[in-house]
Amino acid sequence: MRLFFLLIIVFSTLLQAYDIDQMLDLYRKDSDLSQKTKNESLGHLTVYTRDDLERMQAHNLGELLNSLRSFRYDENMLGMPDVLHTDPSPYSSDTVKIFINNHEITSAYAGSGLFIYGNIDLGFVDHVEIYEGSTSTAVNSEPAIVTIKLYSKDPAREAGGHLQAYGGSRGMNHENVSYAAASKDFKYYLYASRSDIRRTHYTNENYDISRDYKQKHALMTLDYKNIKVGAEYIDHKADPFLSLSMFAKPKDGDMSYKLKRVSSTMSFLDDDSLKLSLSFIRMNEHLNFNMDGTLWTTNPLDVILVTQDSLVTDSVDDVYSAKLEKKTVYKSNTFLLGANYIKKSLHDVNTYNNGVLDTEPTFVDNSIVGLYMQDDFAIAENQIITASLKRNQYYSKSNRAERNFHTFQTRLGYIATSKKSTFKAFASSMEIPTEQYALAFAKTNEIELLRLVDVSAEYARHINAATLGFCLEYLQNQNSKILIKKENIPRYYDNYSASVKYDYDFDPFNSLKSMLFYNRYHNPVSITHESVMGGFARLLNTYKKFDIYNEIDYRKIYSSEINGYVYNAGVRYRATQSLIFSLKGVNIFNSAATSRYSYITMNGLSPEQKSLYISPIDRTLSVGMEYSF
Amino acid sequence: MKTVILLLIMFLFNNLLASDIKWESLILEKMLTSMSSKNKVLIYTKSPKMKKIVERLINTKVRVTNNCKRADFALLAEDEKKTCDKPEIVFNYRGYMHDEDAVGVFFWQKGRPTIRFSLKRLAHFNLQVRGELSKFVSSNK
Repeated sequence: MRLFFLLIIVFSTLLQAYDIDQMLDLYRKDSDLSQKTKNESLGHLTVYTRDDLERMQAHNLGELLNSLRSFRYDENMLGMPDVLHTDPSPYSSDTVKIFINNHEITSAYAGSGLFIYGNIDLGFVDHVEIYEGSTSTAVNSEPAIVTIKLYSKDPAREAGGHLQAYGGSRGMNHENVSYAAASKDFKYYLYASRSDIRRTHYTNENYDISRDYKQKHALMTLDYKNIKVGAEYIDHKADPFLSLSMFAKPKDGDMSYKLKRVSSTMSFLDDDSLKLSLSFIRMNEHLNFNMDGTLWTTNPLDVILVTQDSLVTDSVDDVYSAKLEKKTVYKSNTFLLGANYIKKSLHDVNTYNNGVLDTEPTFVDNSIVGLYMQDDFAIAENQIITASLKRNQYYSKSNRAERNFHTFQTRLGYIATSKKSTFKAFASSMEIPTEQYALAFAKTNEIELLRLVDVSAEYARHINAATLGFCLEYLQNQNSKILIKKENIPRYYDNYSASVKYDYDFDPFNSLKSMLFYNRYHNPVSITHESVMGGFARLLNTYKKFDIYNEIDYRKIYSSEINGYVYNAGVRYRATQSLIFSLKGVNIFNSAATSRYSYITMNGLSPEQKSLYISPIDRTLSVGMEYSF
Repeated sequence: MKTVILLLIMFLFNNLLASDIKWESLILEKMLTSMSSKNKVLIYTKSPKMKKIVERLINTKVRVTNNCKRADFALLAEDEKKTCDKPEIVFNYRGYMHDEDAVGVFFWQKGRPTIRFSLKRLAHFNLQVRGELSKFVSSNK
């Protein structure tokens, strides 16, 4: 009993030892909104809290994607975010799904909104959750192996206005302004930003290779009682990087899209157990590709005869979605029952090939009706078995293929938690249909269903201020017969991934996070296995009014030239409660691992394959300031 | 078994809430004791949430009373109507701006918990903020 009182006194003394500023900071950390949104049973989770984002001075989402086990931030031949980039495939991240406030950003053509949102500015973001491996069938409308969830700032915590501006290398600059207000039943958040991002330019035989972009972004959230409404507008203009040039010789091209999104979530019943989500996304896209030589082709005659050196296309890409979900508890079971409807439509496509209007334009008209069920069964006080099942019925029609079919997703998981440790294991089987963009490169006009099996386990143990964790994942994917133009390929390929992490909290304001990983994966384009080794270490420190950030990310792909590290460092000075100055360096030693981009050169009449090695991360120094009013 | 699930949910929620309330209690206590040199600070509140926060106070100097007249301060939860003619601490900025009896506010602004005291209203109640919290006293409102 004495010991008990002694402990209370010691604990009380420790709590009282903090000054008021530290107490406010600790309250902020402990009540971070990610505590309320994250769901450990959804998968292997990495969270970037508001505090992390601010102290890391994360300007764009891509900066958060370099210290993960199964992928890194990467870009395709058009300079668009494509974290599973597989040279020379134009886009490989259709199984990476991305959400804002639980609404999926997606497109009719690509099957994922990562190319739109994968490097979005983070001025409006409160926190980011990244789930690696399969997630619950209740989350994603279609199968995913990575799920990225962004949450915008909560107006109840943002009262007032905020300005942020930063600028740096090559003249890049960004400004954003936000305002929020809240009363008991009504609250709103308004955000607008403007970015002029100037990237490092490269040249290939005197042809400028640029992926500079300009973006205007506006977002609004409005909450009234049990209704949440969101609206968003993005106007993005970019240089086309390598364009679709087979010879890596882009000429005077440009790309742009305008995205408009409205979404709402309504909750019903006293316990908010019934939810209805509605969303509409429209994207007007303009692509203008010009090149010296031809665009990518598999026809050797096209390479020699240069049949197409210009492609101009305008299109409208619409996605409508509705989702109704009910949560109910019965004995030891927590059931989640839901239905969703998605309509994806690509229409009003005008394409000019070498200046000639395409008389049979591309169109997509896909409808998906999904039914799903999840049961979290508590087998003991701290152990849960989770099982979920989803059936999607597709009504798919496009200029390339028409087919009605259904797919299944199943998932089984076990989660055990205690004060000292956490163990999670999941097994999933998913069927994925060929996305519309991929059909353009297919051998036949046929939608193919591919099976994906994902088995993973994670264990983390807390030892005083340290956390030691291990994660293993096995992913089996089925090879596509219509996309891979090689004969006698195995039907299934195996991918393995393993990681060890070590985190240490020196005190609430000084922490270390680190990880080492090894992946052995199958490259579906080269039909080979590749091994990747890497890791990261991140130090976040606070000294008086200074927040100091240091991070190193290392990555090596064996049997390739891809090998390098990114060193980032930054310092923030909190001059007053409402004024902050910052200085940050990204890829300071310009030593980041590159990405490979294949192209062709002609040796007489014989084509030879060559590669450009370009890093998706530029060396960038920036200075910034933030002001709250 | 249903009870087990409910207990598990309550435990997880409680843990989250407990962490929030722990800091809210400590910060509130600092605010109250910085304005009073009395051995016992009596507060009046009708809000169940405020009562829960006050229950977690470590310093026994602060006590809850059900009698408004005896109280030194009143705590007003968000959008709660004024029932007691005492200097108040409120928890939203809008309430602080409009309530002339609100001497202090503890609220979220631009993603940060913030404290503010009104010099004019403190003077009206013949109060003064001492110690490290005096930097939060503002002459505007």
